[in-house]
Amino acid sequence: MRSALPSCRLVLAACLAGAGLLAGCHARIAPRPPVTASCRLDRIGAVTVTGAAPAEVAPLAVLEGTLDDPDRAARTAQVATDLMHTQGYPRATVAVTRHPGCGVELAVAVARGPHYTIAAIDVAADATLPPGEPRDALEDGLGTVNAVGGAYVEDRMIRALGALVDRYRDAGWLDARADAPAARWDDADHTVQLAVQLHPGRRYRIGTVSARPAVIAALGLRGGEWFDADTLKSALARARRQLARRLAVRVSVAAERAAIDLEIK
Amino acid sequence: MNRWLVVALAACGGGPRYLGAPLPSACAGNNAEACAGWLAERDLDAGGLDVYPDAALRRYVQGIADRLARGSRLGHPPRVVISDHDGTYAAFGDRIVIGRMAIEKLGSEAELAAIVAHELVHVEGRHATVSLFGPEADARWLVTRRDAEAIADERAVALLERAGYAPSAMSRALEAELDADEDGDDDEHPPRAERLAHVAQLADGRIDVFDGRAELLAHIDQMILGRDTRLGVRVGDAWVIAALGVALELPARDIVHVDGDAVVLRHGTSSLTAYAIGAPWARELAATLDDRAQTESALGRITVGSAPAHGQTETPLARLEQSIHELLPQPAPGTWLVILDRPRGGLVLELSRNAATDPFIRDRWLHGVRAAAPHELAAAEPPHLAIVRAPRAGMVAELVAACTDPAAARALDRPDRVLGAGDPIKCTDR
Repeated sequence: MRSALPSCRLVLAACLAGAGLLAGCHARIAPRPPVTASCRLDRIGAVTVTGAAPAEVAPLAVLEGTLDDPDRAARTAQVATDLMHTQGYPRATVAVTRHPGCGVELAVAVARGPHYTIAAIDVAADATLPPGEPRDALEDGLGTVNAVGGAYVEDRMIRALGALVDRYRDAGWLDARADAPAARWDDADHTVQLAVQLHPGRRYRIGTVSARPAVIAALGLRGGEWFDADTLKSALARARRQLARRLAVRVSVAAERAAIDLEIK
Repeated sequence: MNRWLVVALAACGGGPRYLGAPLPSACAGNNAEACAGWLAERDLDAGGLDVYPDAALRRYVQGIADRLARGSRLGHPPRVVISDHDGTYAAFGDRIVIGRMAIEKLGSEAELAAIVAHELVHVEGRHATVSLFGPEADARWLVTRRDAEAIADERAVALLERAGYAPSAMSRALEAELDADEDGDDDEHPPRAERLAHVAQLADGRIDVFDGRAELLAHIDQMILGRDTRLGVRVGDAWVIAALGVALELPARDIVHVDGDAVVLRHGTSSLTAYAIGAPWARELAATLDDRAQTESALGRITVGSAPAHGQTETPLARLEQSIHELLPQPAPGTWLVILDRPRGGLVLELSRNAATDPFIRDRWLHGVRAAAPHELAAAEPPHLAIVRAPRAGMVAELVAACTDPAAARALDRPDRVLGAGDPIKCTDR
């Protein structure tokens, strides 16, 4: 982000400030003594984490210094557990115990369990798949979740499959659906094999296009072409612009013909 | 893949780029947080003309973040960015964005530290990660978000203590930033009264430690106040965008509506919306228009065409980029556009369907774009903060009589704040 020149200037300024040559330079703020905080019963005085680094259960670690709220601490423990799952510990458990100390103190005991990574994601389809690599659509967190080598998080996989199916439907595969993902855990080498079964179904074509000739010409869509929601949206925007009028579209699905009839007024 | 992203990633040589700059290695690897933080900062800088370019102020606030981070569990402090608008937030990926307009409401370094500490706790607690990779935006998600906000307020008090700041600054900062008349919950934050009560309970009235009023005010002397009117302001019968050096005539027969930094002209069912965006974003947008045509003018290159549809993205990186990219100011697909390329940014003119097809109205509006006159540029200059010394001890409400505009100065600080003789007071420069 920064060019080399400002960086050099910063370094130079810091050096000069260190030598006492620059008065009023605020590149560094001098340390200041902390404010003494007394131990209070309504405050969490300390959070100790065992079994994991505090950053791995960061939502719990930051309860240190907050008001003591057991219900909130329990909810946060669940959040921290979910976070462990996204880090590849699907069987991680997080137990929080309270004890007196400096006010209330929380002891967070993490049992990570084994670290699992996805060894393979097998995608099968009972018909020709729409274009695009479905594994890309399922992957999360730049390859850290639901990708080969990453962690498996089931609810995110189910959500991603839902989004993939919606995309297929927009592209003309109106009957598309997906089975729930099947996971086979290998406890010997701590991997998980995923099987995803897609049912793209038939691809729909545009059936009849009912509109005035000028509208049909402006749309540029013809019966018999493959249906695609984005293409339809672009065609409508273009026709509205060219004809300078509002256009309302009515879509009818004729499943027996695997066609979508369009009526534009 | 989204056509805009294809251009963004591949049009330039030397590897993938985003808004004209090479992507960092984090985006090529699997560091989603670091990549997203970089993309979000690039959006502010190159997309929306939304970084406040005061390097000394940024360093000062970064220094406060560095000090606070030492009392946290973070291995390294997050990077601070000063935005030119109001919003303050912890962006996904080790970035804390502090709005310039949020800073101007504060009265001491300790209060600024309180705001920074709140956002730092979000980073420390990985709240953005939980929010993005956690449950769906349902009732449970909202409870999680509210918990995170309350925890950030409360732990910020502890971070203030560890860094040697007055813990009571947290209440004062929240009072300054949260509007009293917006006490209803916004779903993602606990109610204002509850937030104030909780941090006051933790601070326990401790004020006899470092507050740093003089330190903060020394760093924000001459800072722009309020909305940066150089991004668009009405001057007589023109909408002047001084940041780009251009003006748009506002015909008397049209209805003029100002919407933030944008102006909307209406005539019957026709409308034109004008706003400024960053130069890299303007060039990227211009390069992807449908039915595109270009011409050179005295004001710069003009590109016309219609905004393309947002395509589906395939790869995880493209999806991450698209989700951040969509936060940029941009037209709806199919909108007819005119983009004027200026050195510091681009002027976007969105024409409604009727305006685009009515040559009389369209040409009247487009011919109204011209270079801003010197007096218009001067009139578009925003007010700045001017620090004066209190002539005597007293409350801010009385002491602002020493300012050029006492009413404006009163709105910049707590009226009941007690100052000593010679203490700095926030005034406006006009």
